Amino acid sequence: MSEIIPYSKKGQRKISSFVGHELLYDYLADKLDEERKKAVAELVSHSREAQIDMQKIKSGAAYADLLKEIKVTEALVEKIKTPTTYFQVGLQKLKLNEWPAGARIALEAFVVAIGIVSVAIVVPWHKLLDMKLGTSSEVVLTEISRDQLAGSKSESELVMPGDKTDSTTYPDEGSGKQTKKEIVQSTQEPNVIQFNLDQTVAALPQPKVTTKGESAIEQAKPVEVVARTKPEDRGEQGAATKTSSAAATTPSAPTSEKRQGFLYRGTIAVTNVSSVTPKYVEKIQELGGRKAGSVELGWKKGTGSYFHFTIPEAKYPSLVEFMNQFGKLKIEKEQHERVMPDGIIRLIIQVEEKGQ
Amino acid sequence: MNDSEVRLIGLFFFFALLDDAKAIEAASQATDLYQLKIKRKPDPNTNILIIQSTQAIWEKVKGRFQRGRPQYSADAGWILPETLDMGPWKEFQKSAPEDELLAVIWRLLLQIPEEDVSQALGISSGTLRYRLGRALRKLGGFSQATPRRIDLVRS
Repeated sequence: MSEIIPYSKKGQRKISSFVGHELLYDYLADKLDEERKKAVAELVSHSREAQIDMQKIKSGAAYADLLKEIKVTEALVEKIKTPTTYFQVGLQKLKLNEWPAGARIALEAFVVAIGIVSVAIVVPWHKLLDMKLGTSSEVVLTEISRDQLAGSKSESELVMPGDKTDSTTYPDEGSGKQTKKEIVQSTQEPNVIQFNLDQTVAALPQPKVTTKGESAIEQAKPVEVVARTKPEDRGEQGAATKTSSAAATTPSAPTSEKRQGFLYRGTIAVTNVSSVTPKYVEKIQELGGRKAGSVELGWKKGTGSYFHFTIPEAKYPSLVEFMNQFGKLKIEKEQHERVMPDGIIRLIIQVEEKGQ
Repeated sequence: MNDSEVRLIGLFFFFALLDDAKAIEAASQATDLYQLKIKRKPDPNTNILIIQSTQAIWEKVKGRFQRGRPQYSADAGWILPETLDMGPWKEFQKSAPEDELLAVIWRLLLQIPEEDVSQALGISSGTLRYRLGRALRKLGGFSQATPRRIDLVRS
């Protein structure tokens, strides 16, 4: 079997030019038997084309040796080893880089809009709003006690035109007609209370003007009380004024005892909020309630209504009883930094549609 | 799976695609496939598995890119010799038949033994050498066309 197969009539293994060219790589790689090697060598020695081809192969091999020197950094190896996530695969499949600029911008705008809407939905705005209302510094309450003010006088003598007979008045929220007192308070500057006492007050024997909730004022800012008296009112009235001034100055004395304020926060679910809300507003006003925040009583909040108000503590049971006629009022007494005058309570009640 | 195998896979796709992003993506997929194949075979020939994995991923990605548009840079993590001119390879990668391109990468650039390459591809050693001969003739032709190539021939 080792006998060489005669490829030609003369018994010579002469190769054609085509075969010789194809065997050049084998020849250079030394993969040919001796006879083939001689045949190819003979071809190369005579053929200019074979010489050029062999030179090309050598050049290609030399260039491949240079390419072999390309290396990969450790960082890239780690990057390749990191398994591809579905997100990455998705991005690659989307081929965002190949999208038209307009389409890309539209997509980005859409994603941003989705983000903004999500934030708007997720953030509890009503709680933030309540917090804002709760920390508002707009309402500063003081009260002059009618019982103390009246002294030995009867109640009827103290009632002024336009004053409600069955409600406890709030000097700081009133019209000022009763005693013509001007109370100017600012949270920015030292608190100043200016009393312009007229004859109505001056005529009262030993009028004792006090401010309820004095501790609250004292805790916030020092209070300066200025009493103005008309020149013609001097004499006995002047004496009364002096007494009033002395009495009014009393609350500004610092007290060591710190009082705790409270807030009544409640919710009630009723049927047909829109018809019940005016009834509540009417009842609260009837009981002497006043709005305490920046919104009106029965302010429409979402599908429900919102009541932030103050009311005499004595009227509280009546209010609860009335409100419970339309639903079940759930109310909690919370501690609050704002201290209300004695006998006055502050409430926040949210009325919601039943079943929502 | 060790780093040398990852390097081989990464280099294969670098030479075959000449595109950083696509090469890294394809190499990552081929690495996953390679690991899967290794788990299935208890005593594997890693060279054959590398060729099979890279070939399988190559078949997937080759239709999604256009040859002759190289987009690579050293910043991606390839360390290129300063004296190396990539021009001839770009020309070769752009114009060479697929079988010749892959044969050169596996056999000459990644230096996988001839037996493993031919076994993995299911071809004879003679066929593989035939492809390599034709490929080197083209590559040599491109490299001779550049001034640097003349210097290399002289040396």
